[in-house]
Parts: sequence; structure tokens; C-alpha cells
Amino acid sequence: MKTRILAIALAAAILLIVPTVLSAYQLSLLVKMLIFAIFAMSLDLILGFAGLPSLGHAAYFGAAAYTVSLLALRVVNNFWIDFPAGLLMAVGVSALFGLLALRTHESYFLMITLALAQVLWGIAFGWRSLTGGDDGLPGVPRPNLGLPWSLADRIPFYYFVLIFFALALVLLWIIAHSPFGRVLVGIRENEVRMKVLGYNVWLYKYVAFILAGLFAGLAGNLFAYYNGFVSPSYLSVLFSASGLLMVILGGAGTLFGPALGAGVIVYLENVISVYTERWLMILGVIYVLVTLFAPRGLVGLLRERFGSRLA
Amino acid sequence: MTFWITQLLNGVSFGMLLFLLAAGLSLIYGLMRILNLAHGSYYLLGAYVGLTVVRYTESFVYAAVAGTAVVTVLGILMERFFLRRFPKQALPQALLTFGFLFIIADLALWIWGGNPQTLPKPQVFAASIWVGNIVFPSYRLFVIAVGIIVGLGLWWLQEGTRLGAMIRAGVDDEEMARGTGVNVSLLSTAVFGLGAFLAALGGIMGGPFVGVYPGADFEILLLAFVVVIIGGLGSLKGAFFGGLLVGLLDNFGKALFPELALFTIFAPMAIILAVRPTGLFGRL
Amino acid sequence: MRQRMGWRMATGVVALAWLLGLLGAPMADAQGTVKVGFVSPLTGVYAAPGADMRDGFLLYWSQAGNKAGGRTVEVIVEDKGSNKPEDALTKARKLVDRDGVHILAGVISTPVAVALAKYATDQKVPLIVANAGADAITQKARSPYVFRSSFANSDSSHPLGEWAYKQGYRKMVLMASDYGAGYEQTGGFARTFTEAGGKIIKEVYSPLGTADFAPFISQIDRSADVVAVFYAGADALRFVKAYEEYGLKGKIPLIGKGFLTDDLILQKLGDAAIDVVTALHWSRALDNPENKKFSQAYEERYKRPATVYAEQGYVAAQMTAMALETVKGNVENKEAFLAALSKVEVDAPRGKVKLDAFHNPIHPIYILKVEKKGGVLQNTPIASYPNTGQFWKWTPEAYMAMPDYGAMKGKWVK
Repeated sequence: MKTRILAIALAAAILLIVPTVLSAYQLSLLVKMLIFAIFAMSLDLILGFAGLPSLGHAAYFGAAAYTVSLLALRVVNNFWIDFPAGLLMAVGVSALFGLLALRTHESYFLMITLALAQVLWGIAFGWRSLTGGDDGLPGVPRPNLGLPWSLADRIPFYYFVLIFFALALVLLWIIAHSPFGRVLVGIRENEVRMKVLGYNVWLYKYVAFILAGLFAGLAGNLFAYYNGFVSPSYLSVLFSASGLLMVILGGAGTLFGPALGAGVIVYLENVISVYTERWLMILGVIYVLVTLFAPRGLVGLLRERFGSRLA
Repeated sequence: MTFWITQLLNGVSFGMLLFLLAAGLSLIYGLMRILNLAHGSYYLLGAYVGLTVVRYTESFVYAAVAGTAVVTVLGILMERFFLRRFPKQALPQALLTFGFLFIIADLALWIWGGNPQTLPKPQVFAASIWVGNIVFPSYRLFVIAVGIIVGLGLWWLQEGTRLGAMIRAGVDDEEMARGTGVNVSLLSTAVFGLGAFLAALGGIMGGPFVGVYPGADFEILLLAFVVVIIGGLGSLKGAFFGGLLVGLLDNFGKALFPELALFTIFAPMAIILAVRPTGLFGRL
Repeated sequence: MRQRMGWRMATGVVALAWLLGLLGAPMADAQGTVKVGFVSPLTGVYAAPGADMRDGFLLYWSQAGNKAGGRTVEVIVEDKGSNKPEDALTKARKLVDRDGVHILAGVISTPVAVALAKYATDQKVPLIVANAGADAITQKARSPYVFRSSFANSDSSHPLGEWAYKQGYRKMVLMASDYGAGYEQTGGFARTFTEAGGKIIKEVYSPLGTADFAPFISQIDRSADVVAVFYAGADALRFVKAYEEYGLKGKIPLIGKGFLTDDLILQKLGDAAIDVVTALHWSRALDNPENKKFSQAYEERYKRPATVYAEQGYVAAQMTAMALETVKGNVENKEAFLAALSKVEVDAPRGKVKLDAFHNPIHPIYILKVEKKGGVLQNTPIASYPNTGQFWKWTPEAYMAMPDYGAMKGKWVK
């Protein structure tokens, strides 16, 4: 218990003081990692815990990002309206898509979630007058919270994102380890058994799906603010696939794993490409190696290595 | 009238290409429950290898043989040394095949460069055919012919041969099949190779009119996914009729409702999802 | 379980912090070096034009001995990866913050241009766009920090519309990829063609990356005198071939923007491209000394034909060098440097280039016809319009008061 508190305190301390030592670029990368960590953790809720392989998670991410951007640019630039609206949109889309997708299982589920996200992407791409089409919507302002520090400055923005990251981590952790979360794991392990035991399996999956959508939307809101623009790529297969990779790489079903996976992938994508043009290939090789030597993800690997010592 | 006939033939020829692409994905999934995310990469590699061979030999046939051979070998290696270790584990398989997708994509970029290319058509089909007012590229008729021949060949394999019976047994119930002496692991490798072969063939056949370029792997994978959703995973009939349906709907959709061009592929898919989630002929 | 989570978290964060540290603190400026950050896609769909644009840029510097204005120039190239504009932003941040570049350049696609333009303006770093042609970048959304060495989507389209009318065409079918650049590139000739008295009888738009053009070609109204299009890359390759396959070649003349037959794909188009007429600000077949030098040097060094993207990269470098010369290397004096950049006049491979008040090139536009010379296809200039700017014959105010081409999509047919 003591070691646990110590460890968490250490981690928190590092995250809190780190802006003072990092440069603007390094800090901005860390912010990106935190945002993607939220995205990956949200996907872990349905993928890792409930066993639903979604390849269209970017749909809720992007839907929120577009909502926040459109409102801030065209309607009213008010954080207290825009931000919740983004979350609401993410919830709405996931509620709709969940109804359609949860009629299927496994591989069909994967393909259908992919296709649904593509539909949304197509709309964003094609409905130029609303979404700016492939050019996207530039000029999204950072929210004005009426605080003495402007979020347009990088350090306050970092803490802004950090707070949401911590919030997401804590909430998701609570959900995952609550009875609700345990039922999800049970469903992943053996759906039929859960049905026989009397659980409304569909409802559990549906709620989990919407919750995952909500947190994905949170990440989407933050990403729109971070970049100052939104484009159809936020809804793309590539984005969803990145999320999937982060979860698998980090270790599905551990929450912390996907967060780590997000950090690693963002890091790799940005650093390797500085040193070689062949960074895609190297990334591919890393994925293959991780699968071969750490099929339960990096966290699984850590667990094996250090697990017994910390039992 | 001209319009309808041309569009019909277009739709069918595109549909045959889609069939080639979806059949491999579906077969592999049917037997081994592997969703091969590198399937589009097989298309890419098949087309690129074919391109190089055509440059040196001017022969479409050699290109087809080389392209399919190389990719089939690659597929077999991938299955034997990598995918085999994770039977029925969807997540490691996804990560693995994704890794290969990146590797092959970058390798292709490195070797063949980023310029978009098309495969030259075989000389005998280079011209277009004129029948009255209707003009149609003879090559596309060739694609239809190949699609039908392959379809029939696969059907015969599945229904008329021992190998096909073994595959069907393996799809239905692997344990029982093993119990009756079917060498499921050898079968798996063979089927994976076949799937890769079909994708590469798709690359060669599609090369002249769809072309090959960075990003084609993803696009083809998406198309194959849509066909398989509509036709149903694990079903040859599904791949065939799904491909045909998508090809026709896409063509007519784009020609008649150009505003919705982006959705003509996804609309039938959405309908199937609502009505029959496992696809037209899917049983899995 | 809970303990492990805490430890894992700590390990992870420590590892992360260390790794971030590895990314390096801002680098100290090597004495007197001017650093240029070049952002270009080197993987993914735009890999080929991206590589060309970069190589054209680098060619100039290697010829100039990496010097300008009395200082050494160092170019740092960053691959912005596949189609995600936010990655370009991350790369730009790295270049500006960590590497301390004084100038940013590159950019193939519009979304990236838009994102980087904003960033460059906020960071007060000059940005030279060497491809992305979105009209707005040098019109409504312009910035004192953003310059272009390439073109505005509609600038070479305007002369083509007029030219088409002069050929006697009166009924035009418009076709393009269904996205912003498509509307602007075709909008340009639609406007001048209709102003001259011609009529647009149909508009057909196909999704970007259409695998099969057959259904779109079948929509072409056969009573048209001319089909005017914008397609680039793989789409152009497929379109031109399909145009021939479905019997339209030789029946209805095909004209369009130069990207349709650009050297990137020209040789692969084969005979299907012969007699296609396009408009662009450059062709490999241009017969001036600058172009000959440039093309030869490029081909010798990179073993592949020069393309318009390479030329634009080269011109971006020329502009940078000239501005550096003017301020005698003092790039840190931003006001002076920006002023110098806006006044550059270079002898580019395409001809004489200078910038208008909105930082877009004023350059010659050529009408090109594809022909076979010595067994090799080329875009032969058959007419030219020197000193053409993005506003054509209108004043900037009048031009920008008209509805933009994105809004005109679908409205050309009366």
C-alpha cells in the first residue's frame, strides 16, 4: 500500500514539475501523448475490458473535435457551452453507432465500426460548407476560462490537459474496477455464461460503448484546442488504427498499458522520422517484434519481468 | 441504352476485381479466423512485382506468374512463421498484420518510388471494342472472364475436390476435422497461400485500370472489407455475389447520383448491417 | 495488483521523461548558420511530389554551395508522414522550437498549408509554400509571413478558359476531383470561359482517389465541344487512360490543368495523352537557358525527370537566397527579411517570377500540348501568357468580392 502511494506520488510529481525543464517542443509532444493516452484508454474500456474490437473509435474523437471547433468558430466561443457540446456529440454518435454495431460480433464488429467511421469521415470531407471539407477548420481558439493564465500559453495549456488526463485515468480506472467493469470482463471471457447468469449483456456492452465514446470525445475536444484546427483526418481509419495499435502495444485491459502505448507510439513516430526516412518500416518491425516477444503488450512484458518482485 | 449496357459491364468488371480481393480475405478468415490486415499489401506487392517483370519481359503472363508467386510465398511465410503462433488471438494478429502492412508499404515505397503507376495491359487486350454506339475496353471483358473462371475454379475446388472437402470441414469444425485425420495446419498454410495468391492476382488484374501507388494497400483493404461485410465472412459465394453487388451498386450509384459518390460503397453496407448483420451468405 | 499499477505508472513516467529528454533541448545556434526547415510528405499518397519538391529545393542549395547572403544555409528536412495535417504541425514545432529554424518552407497539401500558415504567423517565422495552391492562402487568409513559390489554384486556369473560347469551343463539360483544389482549379477556367461567352453544360465531380472512372466518364454530355478537367497523381493517370478507353479521345478534345499530364505520370500515360492540352506555369520542354540548366542538373543528380513540384521547390530556394542576399544574411531582422522576400524577382526555370502584393507569384503561364518528340512524350508550349497573377484581369478587390470557387461548385451550369 505504501509503495503504491509512493509510486503514484512520484509519477504525479514528475508530471507536475516537468514543464519547467522541458522545451516548448518537448512539452507539446508530451501534451499530444496525454491526449492520445486518453483516447487509447477510452478504447481500452471496450477493447481490453469488454473485448469489443472497434476500428472506428476515431468517429467519436472527431465528432467532438468538429463540434467544439464549429461552435467556437461560428456560434459562440464559450468553453462552458462548446466543451460539453463536444462531449454530448461524442455520446450521441456512439449511442447511434453502438445500436448498429453491437448487433454483430468480433470481426464483423471490427469491420462495421470501421465502415461507420468512414461514413462520418465522408460527411466531413464532402460537406464543405459545414466542415470546410478536406481543408478542415483552422483558427480554433484556445478556451478562455477567465483565469489569470491564458491557455494560449503552453504551460497553462499543459496543466489544463494534465487535469483532464488525470480525471480520465481516475474515472476510467474506477469504472473498470467497479462491478460494472468486472461484468465487462466476464462478457469478454464468456458471453454466453454471463447471459445464462442473467446479465443483460447487450445493455452492458452498450453502456460501455457510450462511455468509451464519451472519453474519446474528451480527447477529441482537447486535440482540437491543441492544434487549433480540425480536419477530416481526425475521423480517419488511420486514427482509429493508431488507437488500436496503442492499446495492443501497451497491453489491452490494463488501462495504464494503452496510456503508455500512446506515449511510445507518439514518441516513435516523431523521433524515428528525424533520423531516417524509413521510419514506417521501423515502426512496422517494432510492431512485429512486440507481438512476437510481448504479445500481451508492453505492460504485460513489464508484469512478467517485475511482477513477481512486486507481488 | 448505351449507357445501361456500358455501366452494367463496368459494374460487373469492377465487381470481379472486388471478388478476387475479397475471396482471399474471406477464405482465410473462414478457416483460420484470421483477419489479415496486410491483405491490401498483397495486392500492392503483386502489382509492383508484376510491373517490374513486365518492364523487363514485356509479357503480361510472366508478370502475373511472378507477381502471384512472390506474394504467395510471402503469404505462406507470414502464416507459417508468424501468424501460426497466435491461433485465434485477434489482437496479436491485428498488431502483427499491421506491422507487416507498414513494412511492405515502406519497402514498396523504397523500391518502386512514390509515383502512381499502372500496369500495361496485355497487347491482345489493349484496344477498346466498338459495337454500334457502345465503346468498351476489351481488357475489362478479360477481367470479367478471369473473374468467372477463378470463381468457377474455386467453386469446383471447394465442392468437388477432397481438398475442398477438407477445407469445408475445417471451417465448420476444426477439432472434428483434426479428429478425422485432416492435417489442419498444412491446410491452413495452403489456404493462406491461396488467399495471398488471389489478392496478388487482383493486383495484376487491377493494375492496368486501378493502378498501384502508395496508399493503394489501405484503399484495397477497405474495399475488401466492405465486400466481405456484405457478402459474409468465410463464404466464397458471398465474396462473389458481394463483389458483384458492390461493383454494380457503386457504378450505377456514381453514374446516377454523383452527389453521393462517396457513399455508394458504404450505402449497401449500411443496409446489410441493418437487415442481416452477418452478410448475405455469412454463416460465421 | 494496485501496487503494481502504481509502480508501473512511476516507471512509465520516468521512462517517458527520460525519453523526452532524449529529444533534446533547443539546440544552440551554430555560429551564423541560417536554418531552413523544410516540411514535405515523404511517405504516403503524396510521397512522389513531396520528394520532388524537396529535391528541387536541395538542388539549388547544393549548386549554391549552401551559402547565401554571406552565411551558410542549413536545410533540415522533416517528413510530415501520411495524410494528417496535425503531424505537419508537430514537425513544424520541432523545427522552430528545437532546431531554431529561421525560415519554414515546403508544404504539398492545402490542409497542411492552412495549419502551418497560422503557426508560422503566430511564431513570426516566414513560410514559403512550395506547392499547396489554395487560393485563400494568398487572398482572404493571407498573412505577412506566408509566401508562395508555386501557384494559386486558379491562376493558370484563367488563361485556359480564354484560350478555349478562342479555339472556337462554346460548350464545356467541367470535371474535377471533388475537393477544394478541384473546385478552384476548374473554377478558374469556368469563369473566364463563361465571361468570354461560352457555356458550361455539365459539371462532374469524382471523389479523390476514384478507383474506377468509368461511371464518371459516362456522364459526359456528348454534345460538348470540350472537356476541361483537373486531376492529379493517380487520378490523372487513371482518368486520361479511361478517357481513351471509353472512346472519347479524338471525339471530344480534352483540356485541363497541367497536373493532368505532368512529368510525374506523363510517360506512363503513353499515347493516351497525345494532343491533350493543358495550362501550367512550367513544362520540362520549356526552351529557356534557366530551365535547361535546371532540368539537366536535376536529372543528373536524382536520376529521374524534373517535375513541376521540383521546379517549385527550386524557386522557393531561389527566393530565399535572393532575399538573404538583399538583407546581407541578416535574417534575424524579420521586418527587413519579410520586405526583401516580398520584393524578390528571380529567373526561375519557368521564366521571370516576382511576387504580387499578396505574396503569390506573378509568372508566365503556358498553354501546353502533349506531343511525342523522338519517341518521348513532352508538354510542348504552344502559347504563353507572361506576368500572369492570381487575379487575372480583375483588381484584387473586385476579384475577392466575387464568390469564391468553392462556393461556385455546382453553379456554373445555367
